[in-house]
Amino acid sequence: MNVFRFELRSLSRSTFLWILVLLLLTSIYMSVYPAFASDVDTLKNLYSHLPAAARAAMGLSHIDTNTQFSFLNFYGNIFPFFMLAGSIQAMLLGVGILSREVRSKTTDFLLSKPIRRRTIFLSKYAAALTSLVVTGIAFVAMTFIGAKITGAGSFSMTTYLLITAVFSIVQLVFLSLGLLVSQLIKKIKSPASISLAVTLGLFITGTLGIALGEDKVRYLSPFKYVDFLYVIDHKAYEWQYLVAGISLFITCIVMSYLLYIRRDRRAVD
Amino acid sequence: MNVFLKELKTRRKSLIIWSVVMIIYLYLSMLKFETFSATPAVVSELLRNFPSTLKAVFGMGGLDLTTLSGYFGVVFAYTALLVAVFAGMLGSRVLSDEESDKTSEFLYAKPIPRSKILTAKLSVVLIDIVILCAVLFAGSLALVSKFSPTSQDIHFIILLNTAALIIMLVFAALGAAASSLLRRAVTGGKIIAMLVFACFVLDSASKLTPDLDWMKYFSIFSWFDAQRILTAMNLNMYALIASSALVVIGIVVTYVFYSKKDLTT
Repeated sequence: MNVFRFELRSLSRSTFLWILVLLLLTSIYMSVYPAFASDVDTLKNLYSHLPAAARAAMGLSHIDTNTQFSFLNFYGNIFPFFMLAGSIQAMLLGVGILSREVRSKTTDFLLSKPIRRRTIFLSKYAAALTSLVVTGIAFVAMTFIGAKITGAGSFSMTTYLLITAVFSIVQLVFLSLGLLVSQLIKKIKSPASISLAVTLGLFITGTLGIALGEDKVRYLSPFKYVDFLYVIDHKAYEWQYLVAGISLFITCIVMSYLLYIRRDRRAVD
Repeated sequence: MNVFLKELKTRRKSLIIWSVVMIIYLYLSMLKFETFSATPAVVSELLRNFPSTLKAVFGMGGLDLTTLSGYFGVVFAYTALLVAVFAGMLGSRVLSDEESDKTSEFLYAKPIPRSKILTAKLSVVLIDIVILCAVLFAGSLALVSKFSPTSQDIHFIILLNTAALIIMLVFAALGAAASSLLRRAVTGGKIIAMLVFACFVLDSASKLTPDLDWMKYFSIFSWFDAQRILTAMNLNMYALIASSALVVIGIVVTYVFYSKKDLTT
């Protein structure tokens, strides 16, 4: 319990800072919505003046301006930026929470206390989870208030929550990935550089892969486990990708747990 | 000279990894170009009539993916983002690693002036950046060569690589400055990471709507925006001046503050 409390206290500042970063991000991106909505109106106007035959000739007959340009559509399209920020936070947290002891040479101090390594691992993990849960709750509140302020009107609550929950799913995967990375690499000199390289790398892989029409990429990049268009249409996730995510999540945790429990720790590295 | 050689060796592994990864990334991205160049022109004609915010939100704005230059511009924009991380981290780590490795006392007790050590370390940063850039340039040329590029395409690729080189120099200089200013040098890496991310966000947000257009002045990625480079076929003069100023300021700050810094042990 002491370890948990200590970790929670030392994480509180960074959690707070990340919530501020997210607040800034959501404010910027949600503020675009009015411009988006007015563009949609222009487009609708344009379409209503086009005869049906002309629309068909341009290949536009299947575009339904009411559903395809809704607020949720807008939200789904700006959401990757929120996910990217969230993933960086989670990955940094995962990489840092166990390796911090090595870097600040406090491993022997902590491990010589009469606490099992298992308890240490679980306490630290629980503290990290708490930090992410708090961030997640703040995030839901921010986007919801943002939607109301920018005049999104009424939208399906289920779909909105399904989309917003992806933020936390991605965070969980990256937290565990970060934990594993911190256990695989003996000495991490710069958690920031590894975290940013991994998250940006996977983000770009996902974005570019989808743009290039490569479906397999969706198993690889946590940013693409959920296709927002699919969620908007079906009010559900595509489970095969989510299962890939959950297995990655479990593998990472179990492996980092086993590595942490068994590794020989040298007092002075 | 010894410091220089030692530092060069320390950084070699990450330089090799980054070079290999960037080449693989470029290669995989270019594999798909053929499917795009086959897309009928009707689609891009259609998209031109869409309102701008709508296009930007749906990620359809900007470069024309059906042309070699347009496609390469999109791919390279992401490359610039990644190598910015490399450069910023390199710049901050050449100075901070001695502290986190607890070797500052060893190194700085040697009869070499701090300014000389600094020069040696910064030269390594410069050399590694130039090497990575050369690898990128050679890789880009080799990869586009099979799509029979015009001299216009080649010119564009040269401009993009120059832009990437400048972006890397700026982030490296800022990274070094951050490490020398902060009491705990390790935080320098975090700050640079945040800076890269902030520039990325500002750049992408500035394209969303005219109301946010002012953001482009604050992001180096917008200064060297691929689309603008493709239309103008040169690098923006103000961007070049501002970048050089940032590099000079970064280096001056590094020399002034690092020479006086109370190194933590």
